Amino acid sequence: MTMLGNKRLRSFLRTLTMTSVLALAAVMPAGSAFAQVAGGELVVAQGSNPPSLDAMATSSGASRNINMNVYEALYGFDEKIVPMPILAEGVAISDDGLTYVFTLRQGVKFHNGDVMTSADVKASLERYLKVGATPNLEPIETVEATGEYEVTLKMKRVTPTFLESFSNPRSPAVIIPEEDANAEAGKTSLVGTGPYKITEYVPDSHVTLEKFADYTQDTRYAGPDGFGGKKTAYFDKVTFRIMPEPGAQVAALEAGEVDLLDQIPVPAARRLQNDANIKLYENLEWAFGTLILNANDGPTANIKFREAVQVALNMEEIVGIASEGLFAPNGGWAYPGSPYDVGDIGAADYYNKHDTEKAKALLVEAGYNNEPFTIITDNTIPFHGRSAVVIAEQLKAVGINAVINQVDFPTVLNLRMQDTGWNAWTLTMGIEPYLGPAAIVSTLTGTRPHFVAKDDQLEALYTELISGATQEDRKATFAKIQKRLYEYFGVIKLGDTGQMQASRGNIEGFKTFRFPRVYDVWRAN
Amino acid sequence: MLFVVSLMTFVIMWLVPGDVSAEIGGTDATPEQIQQIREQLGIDKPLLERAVSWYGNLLRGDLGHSYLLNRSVVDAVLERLPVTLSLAGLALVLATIMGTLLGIVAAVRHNSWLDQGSMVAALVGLSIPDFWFGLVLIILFGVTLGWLPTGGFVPITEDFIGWVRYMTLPALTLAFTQMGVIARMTRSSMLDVLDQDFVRTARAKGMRRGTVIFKHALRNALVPIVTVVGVTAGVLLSGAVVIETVFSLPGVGRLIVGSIQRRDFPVIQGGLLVTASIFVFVNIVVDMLYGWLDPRVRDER
Amino acid sequence: MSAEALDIDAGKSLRSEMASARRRRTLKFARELALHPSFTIGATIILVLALIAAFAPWLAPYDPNKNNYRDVLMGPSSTFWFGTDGFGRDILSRVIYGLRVSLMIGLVVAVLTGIFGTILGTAASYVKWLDGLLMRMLDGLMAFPGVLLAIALASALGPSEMTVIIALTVTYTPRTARVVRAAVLVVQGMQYVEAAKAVGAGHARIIFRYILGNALSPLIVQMTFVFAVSIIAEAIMSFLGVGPPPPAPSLGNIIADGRTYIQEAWWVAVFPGLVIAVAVLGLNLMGDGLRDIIDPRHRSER
Repeated sequence: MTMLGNKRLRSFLRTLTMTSVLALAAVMPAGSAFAQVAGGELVVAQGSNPPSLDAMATSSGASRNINMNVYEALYGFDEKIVPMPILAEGVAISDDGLTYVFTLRQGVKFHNGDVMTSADVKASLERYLKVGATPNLEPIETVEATGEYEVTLKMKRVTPTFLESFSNPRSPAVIIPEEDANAEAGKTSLVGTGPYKITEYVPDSHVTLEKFADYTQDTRYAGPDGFGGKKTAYFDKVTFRIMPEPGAQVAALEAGEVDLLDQIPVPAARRLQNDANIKLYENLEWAFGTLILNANDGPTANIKFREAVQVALNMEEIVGIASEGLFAPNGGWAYPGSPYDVGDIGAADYYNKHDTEKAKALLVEAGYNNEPFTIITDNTIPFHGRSAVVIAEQLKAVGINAVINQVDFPTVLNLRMQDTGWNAWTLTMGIEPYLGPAAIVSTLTGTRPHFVAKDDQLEALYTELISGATQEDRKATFAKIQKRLYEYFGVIKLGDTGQMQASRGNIEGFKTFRFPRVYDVWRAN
Repeated sequence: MLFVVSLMTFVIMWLVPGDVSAEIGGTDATPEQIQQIREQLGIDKPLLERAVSWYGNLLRGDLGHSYLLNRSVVDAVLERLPVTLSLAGLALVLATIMGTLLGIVAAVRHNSWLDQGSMVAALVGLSIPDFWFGLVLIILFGVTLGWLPTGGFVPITEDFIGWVRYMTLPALTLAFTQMGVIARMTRSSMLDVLDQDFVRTARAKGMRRGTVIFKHALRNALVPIVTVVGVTAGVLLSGAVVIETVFSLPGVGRLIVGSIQRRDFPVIQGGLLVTASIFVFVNIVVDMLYGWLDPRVRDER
Repeated sequence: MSAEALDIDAGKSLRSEMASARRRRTLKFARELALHPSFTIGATIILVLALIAAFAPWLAPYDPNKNNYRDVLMGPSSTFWFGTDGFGRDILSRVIYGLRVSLMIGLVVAVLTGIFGTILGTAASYVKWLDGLLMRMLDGLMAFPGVLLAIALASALGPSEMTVIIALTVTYTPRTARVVRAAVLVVQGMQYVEAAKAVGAGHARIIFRYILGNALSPLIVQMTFVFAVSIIAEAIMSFLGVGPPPPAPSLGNIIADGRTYIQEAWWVAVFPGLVIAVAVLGLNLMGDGLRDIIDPRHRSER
């Protein structure tokens, strides 16, 4: 449950949770008292342009918001983050774990009217291996169409977690028509198999989706489930408007020009909580706020210094301010109650201590001599910049010469790839904690761990994690990993941050998720 | 002059760290993927080589292709131009009307409270950050009163009334920041003219005050005003960046800013070249108007 | 007495006559300034603001950067006269310190554009072959939107006060150079400069003693306006994320931070906005006053 220091916020969130429950009550699919209404237009506002509408070639959230309503993959995650078949009937995995035979659903139509066959799947997966934005499909050796509705993958090596990677929505392995097989990244015909098709994209203005009349529903399910399930498009048209100013977004929602805000500033939500024309949706498990330390350069190369930073910080204040009050303090590297939650192992002694005396003693031990501690952060994601400001103030209070270098996002990505010149970097991990331990730890290991200098123990533990046969094995390994993270101090967990969304009061069926699902959503009469 | 602008864009490319591969590859692209993207786009080549080939293409009228927008730079800029031109044009008209009126009132009622009041009103626009003023207008006219849309754009060719409704608030915001300059210029040039012999003569001959002001004084005062309008046109083009962001307008300003942020270099270069050309064009027009309006210049011909 | 000696004497007497004329003019100028209403009001405003900025550490009730999670977005009260921002920081203290940064940026930009504008403007008007080239380059710079230059510079150097100053200086120098050039061209043709040339005064002497001395007045007026415009421009750069970086306050970045809460916490943006408006108003009144006095046409009307 949320823990808040601020009384006003706490009572606010309580009311809010109640509104969410009310909103949820209205969502109950088939059999509910509310009748779904077909037709009309839904206007969704989001802050930034989708860098690409070629779903497999981008890992951007702004793209995912739109693309996941347009494209589908063979497998995707269900609501409980377990792989479920979407365009596939199922998969047969050979005993040696080296062959995957996918059978495809028959009669699924693309937006261009063609029926999806194994040739399209082969072309899509092979294209992913060339232009895909993640190495998720890297274990694949060959892709063969072994029947009109059957595709066989041969693996380079045994990978127990392959189906999870294959279902990963970060840059989803979506199925597109064979004609786009050789399209360069970002230059496809934008044709998919989803309930909506893209009809227009005007950058900095809007993306228009139209209901795909010949959409082939997946009748194996009762309703939408995670990224798959039985999807029904009610709105004839969905417009994603790109509105950079949060204040203007809220104004447009209040004026009724926009139906759904992908993200609403928490203070605005607080003001509108009793407004009958507005519904609010909160998702407390949206992202992990983290502070990554450069274990390779400057004062942060010293493990005692990194420990000093860890014990100096008051996480409640950092995440409370940075998230504008929508957060939960959590030192663990999994959401509470999720399958890999190992409690506060390691965290108990180090998380949220704001222990000035201990920090000062550790600084002395580290031989710290007022060298600058440079925090790089961006001005694109408010949480990043705001958390950097609070962290810097807290560290100054224990005698660390903290300096903030706030630049634009591409510059941050460029800076953090340098081995030196920065000491800390504020980053929210959204999709990684959603995907589970392997996704988080993979960013902290390998050729380029986030904290630059690799930790051999962590490397070994990562191998142990991804080759763990059962979930119990993997969870046991993950407990060791969390403990190790609190010994190495390469990355500091700040807390869990939430996401707040809002819609007009007459929008029914919307549920907060990793992307705004615009299907199975309708406007009440 | 346009050459200077294009050289500046190369200076920017040379100054700015990072490139478009970060945007395409995302947070967790491997160094190999990034190298591959850079080779594909030709941004691994030295800047000089890229500059030479860019000027070569420019001579053939080719501004290149955007890395990210999936269209040629010319198309990317041209499709945005109506928005920015609507905004800057309408703002210019509004600023000129409001500014000239304030200026005339101030000059005619010289040294009265109307004079001081108009000048303070003119200054207020200069003293408030435009983004803040724009947001206040959105809340007032878009939410509280509900008279006008809060943002967005409708092309004039599609729906004239819609275009006016959508452009009013942004153009008003932009005009508000510029009318002060025009108002002050009008006031001082009107004061000069009102004092001159021919105006006095006209009044002595019994012409009505209003007629004198509009027929003689304003006409002559137009010369410096037109000059200011020319300068303002340039300012409006760059001021458009902020207004386009606040009102979610897909204009050239946001295109260029977004391209700097995403390192889409061909669009930065092309976009700046086009806006600079417009600036040059406006100033040529202003020079022509100047010649046409100023009797001295006209008589010399 | 030789003809040469006569010439020198004539030059000397001309010079001393001019010097005393200048002294007389300076005195008259000062007297007029003190009596000019809008200049006096403007100058008083700026003086008060400058004093507040100078004594910020003594005047600010709180540490401007001290976060306080428990007091986030509090409205104006007896504890926090101007309320608090999203970090629980005292807006009044931030405005007082922010005034420091904003005035400093405005002043430095005004002085730098003054210096570079004078150098370029004088060079263009004095050295004939440079004129066309320099003016074309400055026109090119003028056609280049300053905001975009600032964004590019901020990506390159990282946002800092220095970046803001460089970007604004580059943006406003061309206009200042034009003002100086125009003033110098007028002065150049005047008799006493011709006379000084005739008596064989060196280029440096002519430029510094005679030409610049007379271009100074329009230059100062121009600098006042650059000062005012820079304060607003700083706010706009903060809005675009390339202003003075956090956590240090500037009037602009406080407003830019507060714009998200206009409806929920109006005080975050309104108070620094008022201070900006007052400062810009003060500078403009000062500039107007100076111009009225310097420009004889306007003087005659008062």
